Amino acid sequence: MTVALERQPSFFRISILRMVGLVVPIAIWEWASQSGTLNERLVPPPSVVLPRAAELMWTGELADDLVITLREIAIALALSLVVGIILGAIIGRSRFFAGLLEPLMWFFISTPLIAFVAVFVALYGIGSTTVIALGFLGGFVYIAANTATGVREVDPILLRTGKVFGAGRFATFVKILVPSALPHIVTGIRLAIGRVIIGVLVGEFFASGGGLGYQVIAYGNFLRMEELYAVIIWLAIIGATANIISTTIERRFSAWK
Amino acid sequence: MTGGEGRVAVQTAGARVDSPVFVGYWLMLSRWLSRNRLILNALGVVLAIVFWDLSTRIGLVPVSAVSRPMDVLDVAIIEFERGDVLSDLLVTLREVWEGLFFAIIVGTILGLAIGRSRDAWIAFEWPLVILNGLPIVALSPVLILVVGITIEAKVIVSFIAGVVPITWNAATGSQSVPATLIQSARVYGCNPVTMVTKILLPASIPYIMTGIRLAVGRSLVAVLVAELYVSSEGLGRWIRLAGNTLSPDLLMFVALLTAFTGIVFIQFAAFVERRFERWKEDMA
Repeated sequence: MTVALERQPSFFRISILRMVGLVVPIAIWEWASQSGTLNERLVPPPSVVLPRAAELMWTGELADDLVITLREIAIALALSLVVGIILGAIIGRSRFFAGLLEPLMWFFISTPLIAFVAVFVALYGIGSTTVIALGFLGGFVYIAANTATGVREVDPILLRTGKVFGAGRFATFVKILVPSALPHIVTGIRLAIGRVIIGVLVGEFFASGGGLGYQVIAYGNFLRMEELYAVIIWLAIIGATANIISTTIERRFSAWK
Repeated sequence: MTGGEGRVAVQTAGARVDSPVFVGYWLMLSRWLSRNRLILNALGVVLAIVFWDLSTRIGLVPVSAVSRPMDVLDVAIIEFERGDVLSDLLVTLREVWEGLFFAIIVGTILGLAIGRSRDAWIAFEWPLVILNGLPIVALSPVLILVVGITIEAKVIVSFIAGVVPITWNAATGSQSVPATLIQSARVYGCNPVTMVTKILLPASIPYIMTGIRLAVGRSLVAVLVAELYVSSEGLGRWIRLAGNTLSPDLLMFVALLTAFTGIVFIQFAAFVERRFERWKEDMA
């Protein structure tokens, strides 16, 4: 940030402002719901929703679903990582494969995967496999694209040094390409996480029997709005946590560059 | 730099004189193709379609799930003549576009305001991080329940999905405006309105374009989820319909049409974004 900050605001001032930013929107929501500006049955106030969100987790009603969702996100992300890094290294090293696979990359970057939900249901049925497949297909392309960028920027001297010392293809990949491209790969992971979460959620919406996304639809169908908002709050917590963690890690690694 | 047997190590691997003839030709061909990216791209698409067809014939994937290219083409021709799917495509695009239109206006104004005020940035940074991390698709079903099964509900869905990334990027953009630019404008007695229209806005446009590119993708997905959830119009309805009737040809046609729509719009937004990327360098 290059804003001309004359003086850092005091810690006290920062805390107050941060509180205002978080509290004011919640207060407006509370007021709108209580005063009847928004239909209270459809938009219950946060004073009802927030305790309900905590309660659902404590009593274990949502705990299983949270575990299911987190597990699916983790598996999809791990698969994206493995496939993405290998694919990215190939694309980054070979102009031939880069050109050949470019349309495929465009396809996966730009396609709303939700369009293929029914295809995956026909392939894998309703359940975790479909959900993980959608998460994986949403995420791997970002890791591949960023790995490719990183691999292209690898110092040629490193590669030649490796060759002189007789490094084979595998050794070059593991010891030179991946470490040098790591800052880019981490950026790819940050971008991929958001897409994996969306893919997993969409999968759970329309092709699963469990998980937070499934509960959004299930509670929605019974118009249990308090529970519905409670699930959304947990999804926001997952999303924001993933966002903050990945941004912090990315910042660490960009100092590496 | 010398390799084994005192030969000069060629940096581009392959194309050695002693390689077998067919390998040599293959290498020459792949080299030539590498220089002609468009042909290579087309080849990639053709290979993908051939792979799709072959994988159903050798039993890698069931044809009842993914259909076959020629069957999908037949359905495509019939559906294009009937025009039903196309009119629903237009409905979806209208919903996405109307939401995005408001998202661009509101997001730009909000982003510039938040980004330029130190206090506002401190106050709204966390809420924006949370909103940016929240998978907006989760809100699609909620909004449909709250607003109703109307086109307006989907416009609102599209707006909410789009306004967050645009606000975020407009804010970072307005913070990256060089201080010298602003100070010199002040020295020349620039009034606040001109400051926004002549300095802040143009300088932030590359960033806002990044936000718009992200917004296009998110709005499209959010609207599709809303339509898939419940709707009487739009592409999402067809995705549901094709899934329920278990007609793989129709299913793949609708899916590929949606995919194509996404590719066209997001790549167009990315193209515009790249055009404005140059402005960043001009300012620095």
